[in-house]
Amino acid sequence: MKEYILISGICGNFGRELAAYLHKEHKIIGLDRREFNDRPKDIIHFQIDIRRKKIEEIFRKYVIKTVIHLNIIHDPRVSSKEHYEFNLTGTANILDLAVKYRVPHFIFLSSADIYGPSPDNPLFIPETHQLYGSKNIPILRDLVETDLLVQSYFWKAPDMTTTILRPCHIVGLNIQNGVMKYIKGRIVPTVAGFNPMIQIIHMHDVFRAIEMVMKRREMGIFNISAQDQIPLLVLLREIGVSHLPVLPPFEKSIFRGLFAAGLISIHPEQVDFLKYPCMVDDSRIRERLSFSPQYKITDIIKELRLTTRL
Amino acid sequence: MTRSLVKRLDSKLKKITDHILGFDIEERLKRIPTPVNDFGYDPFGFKPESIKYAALPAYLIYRYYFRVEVYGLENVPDRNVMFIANHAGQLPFDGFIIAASLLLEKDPPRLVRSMVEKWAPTLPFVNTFFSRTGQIVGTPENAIKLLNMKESLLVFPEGTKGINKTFDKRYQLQEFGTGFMKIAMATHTPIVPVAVIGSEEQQISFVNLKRLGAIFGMPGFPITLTFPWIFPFGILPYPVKYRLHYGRPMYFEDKADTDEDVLERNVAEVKTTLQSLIYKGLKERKSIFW
Repeated sequence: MKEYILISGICGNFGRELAAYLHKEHKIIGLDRREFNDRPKDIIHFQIDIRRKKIEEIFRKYVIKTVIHLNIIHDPRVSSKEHYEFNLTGTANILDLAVKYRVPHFIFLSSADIYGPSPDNPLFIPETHQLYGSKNIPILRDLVETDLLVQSYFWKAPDMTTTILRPCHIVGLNIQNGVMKYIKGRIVPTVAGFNPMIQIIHMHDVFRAIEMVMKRREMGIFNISAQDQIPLLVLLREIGVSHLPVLPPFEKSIFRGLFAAGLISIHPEQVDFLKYPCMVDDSRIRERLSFSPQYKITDIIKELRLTTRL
Repeated sequence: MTRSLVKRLDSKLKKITDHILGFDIEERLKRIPTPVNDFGYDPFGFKPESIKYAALPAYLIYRYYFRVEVYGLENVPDRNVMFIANHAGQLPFDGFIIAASLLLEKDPPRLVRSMVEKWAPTLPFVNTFFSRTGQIVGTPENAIKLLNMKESLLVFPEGTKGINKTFDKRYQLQEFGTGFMKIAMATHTPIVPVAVIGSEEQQISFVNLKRLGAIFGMPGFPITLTFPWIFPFGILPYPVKYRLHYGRPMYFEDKADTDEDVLERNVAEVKTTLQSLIYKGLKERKSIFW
């Protein structure tokens, strides 16, 4: 009997790229409320909202060996109610079905952002650190709670291997996440007098980490970090992006105005990401899975230079 | 145009610095054994090149204002190491002098890292200065990571009790915390005691008004011979002569069953060794000012 990998949120740019990366070696089922344009023929796609009970049919009909859950909204322009409903209800629905149909492995792609940028952070945050992301950035609350919800299945469903991956900022040619929108924005704001160290990882390295975790069926929480760290302003300079330094202590008000006018993509609550570090310690995944990112910062910068010119 | 002007100024400044220092500062900074990435930064944001601009004023203060004498530098091992020193003088010039001695006098040079207060990263520009010159926010995780990277760390276990002490308590070590010992043992880091002679007379403080200090967000408010009477310059150090005595490295074995008693015993051993080194240094010196 054929065994499938179910990828929720497959129609996002990251999901499509991941499916393209995995589909030659694995049977893939996609799940997303969006349409899957230019879908490779060997990928089965279900255009359903993950909150709906109807997705149970997929679990009933196919033998699923792994769920890779990517279907999370994180758009500062979408209401917090929609965030909550979609992210928490959807994740709970898919988790319960995975348990009910005895899916051996559930992988959730969380984010290092949920640790939250803070002046008193350890510079390299371990997995055991508290999730303070929503302390100063309320729009991260649903992401923190979704991560905690998935964590609760470590003990609620001990027979299922549950893995949470918390990568640093993911970048790649076709990715449309927060950091890519920020560097491709019409105006790239920074805060004068602040230049935090940041980590960026290439999407292909995250794919490798997912594949490795899947092959080894490793349970637990794993930070995924970059090979190198770099100051934010050096990154912007190297990829050829000019930035607008906003004067503190008025940065939040100015960001609020620019965001309301649609000139920047970064939410005013997220301004601390441009001031304080939020970097992760990836020693656990390095030690347990011998995983290390292959892309050097210089290679990523070369690719980003192309991206920002498009 | 601006870029070429900056380049010319930079090369002029380098020539003057090299001439006064008597060695090539860039070459010396390159020999600091801290691994950096393609852009010249270490993972904590330290950029050795950034120090070159501070090297000249630091050297002038070190050589001509405090006229520092260093003893026992050969005791500093070329590996991860934790320096434990006495703290005094209202302003942390003792930290600056220790850092300068390791950078200017040791071969190969070392850049000692120190831990800054958690509010330091909230200050615009200052946060970047600290980060680029190798200073890190004081969390145990940062210290462990740094020592595991074979770096050196300067710790003043007396903390604010030391720096704010009054003149009658000079060269008497105040209470030590145990945090540094836990970190040293967990990372198998040898401890090198450093007796700083001179710093405890750089300000003659009579009383520390803690409550008044708290109003200004400071750990204390000293009343000294010159402060606050000649505000704000009165807090600057008098031209005392600094003498640094580096002791022999002390090794402490990490055992899984290490309890508080063992930690406290080890801390007491470091404190006693440092206190003896201080007494030795005081006995050997001829004068406070020369």
